[in-house]
Amino acid sequence: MSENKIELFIQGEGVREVTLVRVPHDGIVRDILKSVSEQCGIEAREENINVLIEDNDDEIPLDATLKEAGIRHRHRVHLHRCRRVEVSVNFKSVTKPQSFSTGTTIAKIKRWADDVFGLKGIDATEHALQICGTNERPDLDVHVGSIVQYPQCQICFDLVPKKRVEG
Amino acid sequence: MDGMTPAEKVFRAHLEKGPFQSGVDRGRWKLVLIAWPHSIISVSAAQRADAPPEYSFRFELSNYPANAPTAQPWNAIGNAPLQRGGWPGGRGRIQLAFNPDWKGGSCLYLPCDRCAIEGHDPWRTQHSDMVWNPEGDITQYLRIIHDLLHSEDYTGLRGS
Repeated sequence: MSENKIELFIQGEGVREVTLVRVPHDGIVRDILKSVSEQCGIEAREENINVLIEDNDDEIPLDATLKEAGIRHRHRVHLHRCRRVEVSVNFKSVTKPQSFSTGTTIAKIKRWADDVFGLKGIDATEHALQICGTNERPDLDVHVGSIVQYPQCQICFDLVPKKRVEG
Repeated sequence: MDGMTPAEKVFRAHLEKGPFQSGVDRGRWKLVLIAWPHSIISVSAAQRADAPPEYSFRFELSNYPANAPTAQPWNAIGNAPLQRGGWPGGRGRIQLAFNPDWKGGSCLYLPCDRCAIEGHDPWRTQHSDMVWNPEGDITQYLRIIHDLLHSEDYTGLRGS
């Protein structure tokens, strides 16, 4: 943290990789969008964009100060035009749907999936969420919103076993 | 940065970026040192009786990120390969990935490892999610180690 700046971890629409940006510590939430554009070359349009703190459902006004919004050094912020992501998870021919805020981590969705499918202990740690129709397993750190693009505010996962590396 | 190879410059730049720093911030891993072409990085482990909270790994990073890294458990204090009793131990995926008897303990038995993938072409389809992607960064390897060290298969120190 420099004297006048704080660092934030940003994810969101078009920000697929966790991205570290620096913003003035006494700035407002709108400054985050400006920093994302300047430091990442990603256009974060203000119209209809929702700003959230990770794993939190409350949207933050763009004109709120960072202090008012409770955003501090190395906090995790999410930017997206979708308000919610409709998630469905498939496991053994059963599909369970649930709505999550865009700033929800894959870790939290995985815990929900383990719970609704009754996976505990070794069964839980030996399964991962894989995007349907791909071999992509987003890291537990990833916000679900960063893997969807407005207006398609939905995603499907398969709950798949982690295979042993043998042979 | 003068005198550094392009690979080292890229590696150091990756360490400053969001994916690596996010893991540092969450306590998943941390940089111990860089002595090019090596780097020692510690990865946290789930709490187990009489086991350390983290393990260090020495990565060999020549031609990073075009070439996959190769890594071995490392005694960061003694700056030497970790003795077999100090390796992570357990069942299933753990005993396969962390095998001190394979290639003399010089690398981990994982598809993301440059040494291990040699002669294992079927892994590229069988374990495509774990194969090194030159467009990615070191966190793709660290995430796999971290996942293993937080699985129920991990039971603590391997022991002698």
